[in-house]
Amino acid sequence: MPLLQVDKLTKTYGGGKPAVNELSMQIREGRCTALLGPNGAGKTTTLRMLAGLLAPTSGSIAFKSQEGGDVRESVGYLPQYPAFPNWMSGKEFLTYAGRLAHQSKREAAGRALELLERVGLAEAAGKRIGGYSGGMKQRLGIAQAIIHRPQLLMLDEPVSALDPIGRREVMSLLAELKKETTILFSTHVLHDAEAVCDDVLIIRDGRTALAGELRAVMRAHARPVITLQLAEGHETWLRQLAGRPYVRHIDLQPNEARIGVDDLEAARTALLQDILASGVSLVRLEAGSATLEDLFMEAVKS
Amino acid sequence: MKQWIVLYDKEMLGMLRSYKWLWLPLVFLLLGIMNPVTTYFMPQLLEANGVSAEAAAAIPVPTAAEVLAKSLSQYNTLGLLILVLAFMGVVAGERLSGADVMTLVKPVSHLKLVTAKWASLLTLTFSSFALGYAGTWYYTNILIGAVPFSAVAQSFLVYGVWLTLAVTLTLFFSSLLNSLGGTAFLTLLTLAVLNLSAGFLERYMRWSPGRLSGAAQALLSEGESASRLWLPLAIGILLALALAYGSTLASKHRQARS
Repeated sequence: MPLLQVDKLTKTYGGGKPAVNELSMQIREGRCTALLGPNGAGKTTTLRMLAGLLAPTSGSIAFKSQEGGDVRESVGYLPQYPAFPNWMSGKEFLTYAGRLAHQSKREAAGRALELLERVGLAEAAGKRIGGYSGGMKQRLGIAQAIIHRPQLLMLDEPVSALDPIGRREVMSLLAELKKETTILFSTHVLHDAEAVCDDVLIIRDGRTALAGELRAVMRAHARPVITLQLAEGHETWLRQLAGRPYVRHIDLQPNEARIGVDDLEAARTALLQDILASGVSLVRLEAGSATLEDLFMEAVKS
Repeated sequence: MKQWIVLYDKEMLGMLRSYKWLWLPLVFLLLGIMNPVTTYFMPQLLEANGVSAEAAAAIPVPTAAEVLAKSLSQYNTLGLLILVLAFMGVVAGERLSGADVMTLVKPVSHLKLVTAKWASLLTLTFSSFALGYAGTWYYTNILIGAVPFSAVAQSFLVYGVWLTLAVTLTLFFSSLLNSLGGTAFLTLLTLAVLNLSAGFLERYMRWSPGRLSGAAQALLSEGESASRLWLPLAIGILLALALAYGSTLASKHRQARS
């Protein structure tokens, strides 16, 4: 049995169109799953229901080894915009969070210190949270989410509000944590999802659009793609490429084209010959397969 | 129960860090002792302002019990206003900032969350009131005259029930509404309506907890017996309990829809 089994989960706010609409999914133990989808797809609503903060309108959420009880016992959750009591210090807050999760005073204090060390906040442990930077707050938020060693760690857009340094810190922390616990996080930075996740779940309009193991999904949807970048001033030449027989579809940007093809080898040869014949100046030519972004765009559009 | 203590401790620490534990007791102390002190120095004050000694002598000197009762009436206007303003954000503040989520992600019930807040408010309120009232009694005894302890204790308890109701109303409206101004307005309005209706419609309002603030003063100066107050006291306490429970339901309902 998977760690988490969700069946026909639905949430309707005040009679409108459902935010989450009969969503079914599974989270397997020990896996890291990325929850992807455009804004308004229902990611946050889904996570809030899984975290026990929001009651579903209908549908079921079943945790392995947890029949009935409070799901919050076995879940750690970091909201998209965590708001802390700013007058507390990082250490006080973590101790508080641990004690709310039924730890003894000593246990919570010890665990707080251990986690502050781990998320790189040891030096700021005694400072008021009000003085923390965005990245520090996010790391403190992760620490509170794992303080009670939850079976499932859920993070809502953990990096979207951070600068590149903060983002990198949080992503490497996640990469480490996934060795110890099951993770589900939502993001719209697809590159991050590709880097750390085992599974993906793409939702659209509150329904599953695409789900599965990242590699398998990529393989199943793998289509050869050639990225071609030319020097300035060759837009017309790029545009006329659309008529070539080896081009299946083309995605044009000012000096760049992403060309979907069927036979990578043949297409590359033909394209290179065209380039040589026309004398346009080549900057970059890259042959590869579809990225998660291509997949995402396809799943979300269709 | 352990969780409840953790939540209560957090509220107490929060009120300490925001200096509520400093200024609320001070305000109650100052509001209270102002009366015996100004009454004591009244002849000098009048003289300094050019009132002749004969005219000053014609102004009746209040008794010690009246001075103490006057302090209670100060608490009933400025004291209540300050309490309501200090506590109006008790539930709504965290909900508006989103900080309540960081507590609710852990297995905590709204019942524990809200009652811990309630208890912390009452702790601070009673500490401030006790300090202020004790100070007032002390200065009244020194400067004006003795007031028997039993009368003071009875009026303290009766007025304490009224304060409990006021604080619980603040908690209730703060749980129900997101607007801090609305919370303060509705709480003060309800308290005023309770007070005024008990005064104007005395015959029909013998049961009303709105009588309690006036009765606490009467206990001091007119020697009214506290035994006749059991009905408004009981109703006041039951109403406070019901409002506290209502607050937990309102908080839960609000959070589920946010």
